[in-house]
Amino acid sequence: MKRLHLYCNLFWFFFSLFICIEAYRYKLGAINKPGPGFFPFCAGFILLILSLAALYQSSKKKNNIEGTPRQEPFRWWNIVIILGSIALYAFSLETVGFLINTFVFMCLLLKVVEPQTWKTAIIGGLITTFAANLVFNVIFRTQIPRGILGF
Amino acid sequence: MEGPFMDIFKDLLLGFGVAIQPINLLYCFFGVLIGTLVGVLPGVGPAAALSLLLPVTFYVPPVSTIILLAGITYGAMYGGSTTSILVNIPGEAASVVTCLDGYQMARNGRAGPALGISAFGSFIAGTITIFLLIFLAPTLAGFALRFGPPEYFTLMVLGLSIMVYLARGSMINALIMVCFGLILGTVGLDQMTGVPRFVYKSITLMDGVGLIQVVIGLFGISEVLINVEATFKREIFKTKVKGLFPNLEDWRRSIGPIGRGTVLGFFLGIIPGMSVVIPTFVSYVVEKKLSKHPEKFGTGVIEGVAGPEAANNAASTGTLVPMLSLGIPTGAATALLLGALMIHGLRPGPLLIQEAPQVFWGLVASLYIGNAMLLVLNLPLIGLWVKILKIPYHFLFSLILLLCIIGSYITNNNPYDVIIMAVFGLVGYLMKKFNYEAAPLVLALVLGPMMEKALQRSLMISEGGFDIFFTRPISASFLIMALLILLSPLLLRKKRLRENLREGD
Repeated sequence: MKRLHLYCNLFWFFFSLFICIEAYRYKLGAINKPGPGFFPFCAGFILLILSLAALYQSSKKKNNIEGTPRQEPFRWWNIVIILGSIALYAFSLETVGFLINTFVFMCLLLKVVEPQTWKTAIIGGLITTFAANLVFNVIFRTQIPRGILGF
Repeated sequence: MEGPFMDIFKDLLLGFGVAIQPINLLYCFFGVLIGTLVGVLPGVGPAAALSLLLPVTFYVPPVSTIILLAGITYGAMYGGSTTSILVNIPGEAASVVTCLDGYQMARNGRAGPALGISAFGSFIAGTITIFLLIFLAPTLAGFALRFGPPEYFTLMVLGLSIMVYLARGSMINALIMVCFGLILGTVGLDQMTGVPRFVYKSITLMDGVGLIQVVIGLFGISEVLINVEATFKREIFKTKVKGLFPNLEDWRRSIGPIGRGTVLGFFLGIIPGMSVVIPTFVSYVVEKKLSKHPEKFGTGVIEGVAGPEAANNAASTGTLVPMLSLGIPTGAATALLLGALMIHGLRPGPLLIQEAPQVFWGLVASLYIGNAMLLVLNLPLIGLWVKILKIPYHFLFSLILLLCIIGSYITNNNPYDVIIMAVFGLVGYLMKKFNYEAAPLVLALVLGPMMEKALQRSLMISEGGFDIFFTRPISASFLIMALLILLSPLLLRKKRLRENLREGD
């Protein structure tokens, strides 16, 4: 855990360094007429100092074992599946359309993340798609793409 | 003395005229209903619900929008307490304290009075604080007309300092979040010069990082990711709810805590950064200190429910004061309400009450109507809310994800907004793992552009002298307060160290 915190603070250190360099490129301007880089540079510089303080703190911290060891497996794949399917949904929405996209997305989540039977996944997908269509397309008339098939 | 009171009475009549229009009554009803629902469901707080619904309100008139969104914020307070009492699951953070005695009361067979006093206490607090809001917001707005850029800048610094001070865990982590939020707020075109910053040829980033996408990612998606990484189990305590009306003895013991909770909640809620959570803890501690039997707290005493429940409702009205009169949000939820007003072309700040009286007074009147609706609605619907909690999590999380995607997409009909939301979902997940709080980030992201503008203008007025922040009395006092708040943990730690050493001797 201590090493992870160290990496995390190292990330903030390099991130703040990057922000300072980028902000400097945007021009800091004069103190009576601050340029576009002035405010992000100040924020980046304070972040740099804070990251150094955090690095010092985490290097001093003892490597203690926190609580009882984890009983359940860490299901990291669920996180990857969810983030991947969100990206897929976003990029296919305009081509495939709202209804088909939503149905497939719901079935995928119900079948893969917390595995259900095909029947539950399909019925759950159908009900959600119908309800979402009713709320967003019929009641609120939002402009969600219909896709190449027209629905 | 008759003049100002008559004016307020006339304004209030105008407000009720707006709020009782059928369409606004309908939006008020939807607002409190959705609010109660998100209050009941763990993992979907009022901030996430507001950001999901904000894009939908593009198609709704401004008064109805603000009535709907405000209804969600105080409706969530009612919903959260129901599940805290019945199933020991706080639907959102402001109801955590209610679990301590509310759930114990339910276990002792007194779920009915606990729910009853929570609803009546919230209603009483809501009613009293609306009157406090009526008198305080216009006065504060009048006072704020004297504010220049330095006062606004230092007030925002004070708000962020309070947020940092109140954050859980390390203060350095909270400060890092504030800086991260301020940097995120600079993404996009510079307001003064039009120079693109941190955009890297992305058209989506030209308008900046969307608040809606960030909030949905940090609060909605990250919560789902945390829950699906392990097997999600939820135990429901079976109890029968009967006799919702508290008896005379319950009232005698609760009236004091409700009064104190109302005053504490409202005035603490006004302070930027305080949010609605802290007042509930303060109220609980105060009641415990004042009680003749403090040892009974935690075993199911009604004072432990009445005080915090009144405090969280009062605080949700209190948070509206700086938002409406100064244009400064106190947390993520009020930041989104502010965003909603700006989307509809209104200028939140000292002039809002004069420029759009129908919005301000319509909202005030709707708060009262909404509170009454919640009282009538919620007590008979308690069974329904508990049933909703029994919905299996695999259905719930996939529904939350779908709503998150649609909510962030329909803001600009841009698929890249969904990607930004997913990125912040991952960021929020990692933040939870490494003990970073999302609230300071969100507040800094909202205040960042305002702070930058105020800082630039202040420096232009003073021709480059930072002394402008120290020579003007109001801004100097804000800065001193901010410094004291930020340095107090260091001073206190030194004192504690000295005491420990003395004890060691």
